[in-house]
Amino acid sequence: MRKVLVIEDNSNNLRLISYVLKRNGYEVISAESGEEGVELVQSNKELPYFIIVDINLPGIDGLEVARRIKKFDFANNIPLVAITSYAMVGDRERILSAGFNGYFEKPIDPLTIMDKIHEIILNK
Amino acid sequence: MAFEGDKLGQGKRRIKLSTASKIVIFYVIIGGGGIWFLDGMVSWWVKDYQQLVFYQNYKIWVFIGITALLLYWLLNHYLYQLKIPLREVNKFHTLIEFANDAIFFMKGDTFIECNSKTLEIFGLKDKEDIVGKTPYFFSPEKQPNGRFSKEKAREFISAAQKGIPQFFEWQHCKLDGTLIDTEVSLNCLPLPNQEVIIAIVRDISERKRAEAEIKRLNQELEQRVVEKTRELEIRNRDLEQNQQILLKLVRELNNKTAELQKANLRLEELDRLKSMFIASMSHELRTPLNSIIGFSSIVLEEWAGPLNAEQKENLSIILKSGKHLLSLINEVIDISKIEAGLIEPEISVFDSYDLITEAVKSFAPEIEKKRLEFPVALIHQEMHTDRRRLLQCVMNLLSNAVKFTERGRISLKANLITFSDFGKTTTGQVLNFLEITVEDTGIGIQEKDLAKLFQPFVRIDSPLKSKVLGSGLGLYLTKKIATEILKGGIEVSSKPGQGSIFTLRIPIRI
Repeated sequence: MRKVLVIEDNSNNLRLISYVLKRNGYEVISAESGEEGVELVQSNKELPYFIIVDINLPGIDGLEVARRIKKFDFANNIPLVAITSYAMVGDRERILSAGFNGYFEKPIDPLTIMDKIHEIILNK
Repeated sequence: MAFEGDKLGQGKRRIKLSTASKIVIFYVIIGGGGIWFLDGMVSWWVKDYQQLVFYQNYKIWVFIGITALLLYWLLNHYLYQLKIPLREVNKFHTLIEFANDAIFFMKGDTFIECNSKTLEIFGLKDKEDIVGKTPYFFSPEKQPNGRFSKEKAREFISAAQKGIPQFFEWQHCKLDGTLIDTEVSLNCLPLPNQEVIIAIVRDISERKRAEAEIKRLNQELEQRVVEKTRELEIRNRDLEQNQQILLKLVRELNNKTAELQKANLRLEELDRLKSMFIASMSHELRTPLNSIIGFSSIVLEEWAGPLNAEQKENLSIILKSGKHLLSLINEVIDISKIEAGLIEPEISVFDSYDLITEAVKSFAPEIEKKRLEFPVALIHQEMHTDRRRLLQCVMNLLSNAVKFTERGRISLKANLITFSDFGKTTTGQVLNFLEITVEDTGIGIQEKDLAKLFQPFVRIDSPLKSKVLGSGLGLYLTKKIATEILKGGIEVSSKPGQGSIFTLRIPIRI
């Protein structure tokens, strides 16, 4: 089973996205903070198929997480998807330039979100 | 050649006696001696009477010849000497006589000789009139400086007599009493008795007059200068006053500017707070909604297990409410952003056909459910504007139409219009607009309510008010977006009970 890393501090949001991912046949690994997430990638035990990162995180934010992950050669090809709440003008550029392949906004529609995510990660 | 004279004549000169006597005596001696010698010689040498007479006659002629020669030599030599001075005397005589200044000689303080100009200056007719007179005779009692003429004149004369040349101004008085200003120069003659003084007097009345005139003009000028200076002072004072006023104004201006700057800073701060508010509101409100909508969706789809009809119904209410709440939040945040000026159009190029089709597709099911007709007339037009916002407006109009129409139809039309339909712009440019019309056969809007239609938080009273979900923000937001972001406009016309027509006009290029 393909693994997906979800870096999200809000347990409800994590539960929700996990539902969707599991429903679509993915195994979910989670981290509650950016640092934890980066460490999990760095430990290199099992590289995820793709990574979902919430932009709003305690400690280092989602953008910083993406930048750090991108620095790892072995993890460079893993697609990164960001979750935001209502992007402001300029957010799009910032998210993409941090290394994300794309993003989606909260609140999500569980019925359609998976298609959106696939679109993002396959549109490399 | 020295000369002396007690009498003023025509310039007769008398050779000093001593020289004349010398010549005569010399002549007598030589001549007499010669003749005596010759006589002696003849009487010794010649014995014959006739020879004697002959030699005597001959002797006379010889004598005449010799004396003639002597006389010639004498006259030539001395006369030559005489001639020069005589010529010179004549020359100088003419010079002095015709000089334009009074030139005269004084012995002590008394006139002894003068030239013609002297007579003219003192107003006399003959040279006799001047003999024996004094310069102060021809002067007023007092000189302009207050000194007595007699005293002062004598001072000058004695000084001159001492050998010091004098040069001064003097006021003379003509015989007829007229005062004349003169310039006087005195010099004494280099004689053993230095009593004789040469005086030159020049009439400087003209000059004095000119000087007085200059002085007068100078005074006038000074007066004018004083006046001008006074004027300038006054003007300066005015200028200073104005400067003061100006300075005060500048100070006030600076104060105002400082105040404005402070106000600006406060405004910037407020703006910043607004943005922060919007951002955090955005985030905070959406987070729980994510759960509400997300989980009710999941359960409703039976991912967590099967549901009965009742459960489904209850859950769908939750889901709908959640979605409604979300749309309200979105509207409020949108308005906040627009009001805060944080929204800028995101311009992209798209086909109007695609955009409207998207809106149509999302409302088609609902319209079908209500069994309404839905005629749609679209055009292909390349648009250079904010696609999302335009879609938002179209969706809002369709949403209202669907909400407030129970039967009949909703027709959607799109066409291109040019600004020349309204008149040219100031630059003469012709602008093209996309006109989208949503016409319904719904409940319509009362005339009195038309004005309130685009106001925020106002929901028009209607029989459907309680049935229809609304926030009162839809049209307000749509108008804001249409005018401020898309740079277009929106219009409405309605007949209560018959329906309404909403017209959206958007420039195809902003």
